[in-house]
Amino acid sequence: MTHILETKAITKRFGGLVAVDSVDLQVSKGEIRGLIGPNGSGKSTLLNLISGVYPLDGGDIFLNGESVSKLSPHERAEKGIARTFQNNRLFPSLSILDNIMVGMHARTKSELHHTLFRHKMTKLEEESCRKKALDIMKFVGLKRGADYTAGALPHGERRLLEIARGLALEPQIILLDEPATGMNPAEKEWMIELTRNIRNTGITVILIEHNMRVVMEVCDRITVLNFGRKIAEGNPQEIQTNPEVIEAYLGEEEPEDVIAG
Amino acid sequence: MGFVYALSAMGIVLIYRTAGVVNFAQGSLVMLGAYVATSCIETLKLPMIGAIIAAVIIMAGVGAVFQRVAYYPLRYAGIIPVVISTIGVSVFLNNGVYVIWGTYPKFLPPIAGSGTITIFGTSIPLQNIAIALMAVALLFFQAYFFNKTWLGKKMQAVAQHQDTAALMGIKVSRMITFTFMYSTALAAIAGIFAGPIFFVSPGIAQILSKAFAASVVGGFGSVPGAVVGGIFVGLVETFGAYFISSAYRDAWAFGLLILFLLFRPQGIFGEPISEKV
Amino acid sequence: MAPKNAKTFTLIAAGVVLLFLPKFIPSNYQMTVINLGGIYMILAAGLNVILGFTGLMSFTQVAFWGIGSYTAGLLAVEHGFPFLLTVPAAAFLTAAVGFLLGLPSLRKLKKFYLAVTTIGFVHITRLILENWTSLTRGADGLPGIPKPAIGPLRFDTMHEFYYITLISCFLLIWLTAVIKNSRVGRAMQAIREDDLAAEVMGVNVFKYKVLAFTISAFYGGLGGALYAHLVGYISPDIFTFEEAVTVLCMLMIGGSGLIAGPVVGATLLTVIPEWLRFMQEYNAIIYGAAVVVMAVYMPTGLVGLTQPYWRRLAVLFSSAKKNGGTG
Repeated sequence: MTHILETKAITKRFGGLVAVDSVDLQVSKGEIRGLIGPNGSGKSTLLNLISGVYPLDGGDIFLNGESVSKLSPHERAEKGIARTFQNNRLFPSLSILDNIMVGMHARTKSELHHTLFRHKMTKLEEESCRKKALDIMKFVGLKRGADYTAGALPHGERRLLEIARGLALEPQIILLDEPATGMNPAEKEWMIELTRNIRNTGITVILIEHNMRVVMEVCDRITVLNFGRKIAEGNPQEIQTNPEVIEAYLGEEEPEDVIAG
Repeated sequence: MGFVYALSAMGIVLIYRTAGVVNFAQGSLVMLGAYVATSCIETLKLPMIGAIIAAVIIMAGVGAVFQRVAYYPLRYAGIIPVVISTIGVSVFLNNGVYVIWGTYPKFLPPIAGSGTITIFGTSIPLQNIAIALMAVALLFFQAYFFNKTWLGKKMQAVAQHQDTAALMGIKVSRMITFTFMYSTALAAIAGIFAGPIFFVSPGIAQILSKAFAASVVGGFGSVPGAVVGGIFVGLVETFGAYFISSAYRDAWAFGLLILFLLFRPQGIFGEPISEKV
Repeated sequence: MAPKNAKTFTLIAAGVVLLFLPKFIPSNYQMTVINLGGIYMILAAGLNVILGFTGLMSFTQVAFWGIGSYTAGLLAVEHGFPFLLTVPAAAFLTAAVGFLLGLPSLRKLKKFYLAVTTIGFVHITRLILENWTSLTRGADGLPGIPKPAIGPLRFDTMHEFYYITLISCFLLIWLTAVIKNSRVGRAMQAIREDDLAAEVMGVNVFKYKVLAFTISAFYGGLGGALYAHLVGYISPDIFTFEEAVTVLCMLMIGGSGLIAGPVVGATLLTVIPEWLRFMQEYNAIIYGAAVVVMAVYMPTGLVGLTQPYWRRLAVLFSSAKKNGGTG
């Protein structure tokens, strides 16, 4: 069986600190993979390495068996790796529609000369993008007008918009960095359902989440990191009973709802 | 000349390190410092040393006001809005001095008179020696201030890590105000040095560009870098003009700047230039 | 759709007024001022693409203006090129310079370094214009640049030239609107808002930064060429850092990132100083103060005031967040 995403011994150092230490990861197509670990265990750094935000210090990353380690972030996006950010990085003064349409950038082709000379492609592209964007809004459950400014949205809807923007890329895999943080219970329920819906459209999901209930409920498999190393991997039952995992979380504050930044 | 650049660059770098913003009004503050010193001598009839002290104190006050008006309301707004508001301040000052001091350039007497001294057959103006001595003294004072005094240490702490400093109970915004005051006081001294070289006119404000060149050459964000960069830019300018062509006098400084930006953007004392996510 | 009709009506009325404006303005001097205002508008529109859309601090607009002016001036004076050739030649040559300057300076440098690089470039351009006497005639300047002529049409007076300015401004401002609402414009604005997020969403950030820089150079060069033909005499001391700041003030006061921003800013900063001539020495002070007030209280400029409240709120919010994100 081929893996959609595979990392081999990837490593990242910040000064003397090894944030991600020789991590191997194999994610199968269509799975929802949970990524958990105490604060500072290197989860977000791992996502930053996969999406190309940080350069690797060692190891290799493969998408569908093809190395993407040397590609820049936008090239990896074109290959089909989408992501959201832990601390929410929308384009705040653009509208909801424009945010989503930026996500379609890699899937569209109109350059300036097409636009200037009123190329037919541009018009068709703009129209189909707008339609697709509205569909995506519906899919993630954004009910507001498409012209609403992203920066004025309440927190929960911003997280949804970020996911919508990622989906607009038509990715093969989407990396969600703590999407449910700061959401109210109803929104969390919806988040669980949405994650499943995304998977059902054929997109693989990697999910970082502090809320154990969400993780245990939605993930097919879970990878646990501690101090930058992978300490366990398995299905939710295996992880819940794994002594090493319990030890890693021992002495930690209750991981439920640690609200970052 | 190098020392004037160095002092101006130092002011820019200190504010950058503490507040994370780039002050485009530093050149205008240097100019204002020169005007204020001139008035202290001409109008208040203060002796040279008194005028210097008075100018430094007045300019520190200006720094506090400047901080309150152009930086404080924008402290969360990122770098570009602050750049624009400091540019606004510089436009305001460069033209405001005409209203107060008139359009004729003023004359600020050299702090050490106009004599020269002959060393190894070269005559050197006393003024240059005085500038060099004062600059060195200032560097020593600064090293002492930042490493040995409580206030200096707190300012350092804020510059290095604002959040941690705040957790340690340091009043960050007050330290930022002090840094602005300190930087404008430096500007006053730079102005007093520059006054006799240029005449006191809004033209002085143009050293802003050289000060930027100096701070980039030295390594933006590094205080020793600003000093070394300033002196380096001054030397390159002087020697370039002397040995190659004086027509391109200003071009040497900017040529140097461009070379550094292309090949060593982190400068001599470089801090890493890539932004952390 | 009453508001839309009202808007269309206002635009048509404005168009008619603009078309017949020279009839109401007898003075040659005032017409010159209006033409210059138009050229500033073009420069500010170019700055709008790089600063307003893409969020990059650049002072090069004035250097591009100089390069464009000299290209057009020299081609016309030394080689007798007609107006219809000098203007595009100047615009494209300047765009090429912008492209070449953008390549090294836009790759991975912090925003602030670009500002410093462009300041250096402004000074170096002026020094080259001043000292490369065999090409530019140095500090004496270049006199005798002919007034434009297109076929049998001649534009000898300021009143006639006005139509060239009007058409150029209209086309170039319209072009910024087209860019802003295109895929490319969205990419640029995404870079302004958050360049890392844009990159991760598949936007080739470097490519669009260079493109924005090249477009702003094109505007600068074109404005410069028109300027050369308008005033007939150019010299290096026109293209100073202070002029770069003036253009910046226009954009900021009008409204950065908004299509009408350069129009309002350039108009105001051209007209108001003429009204306030009796207090000339205070003009620049007022600019300065206005820029500070704008930066602090109205980051979207005067045009921004016409936008719905929540949109302004979002802008304020976004600027607040940017710093908070590092904490």
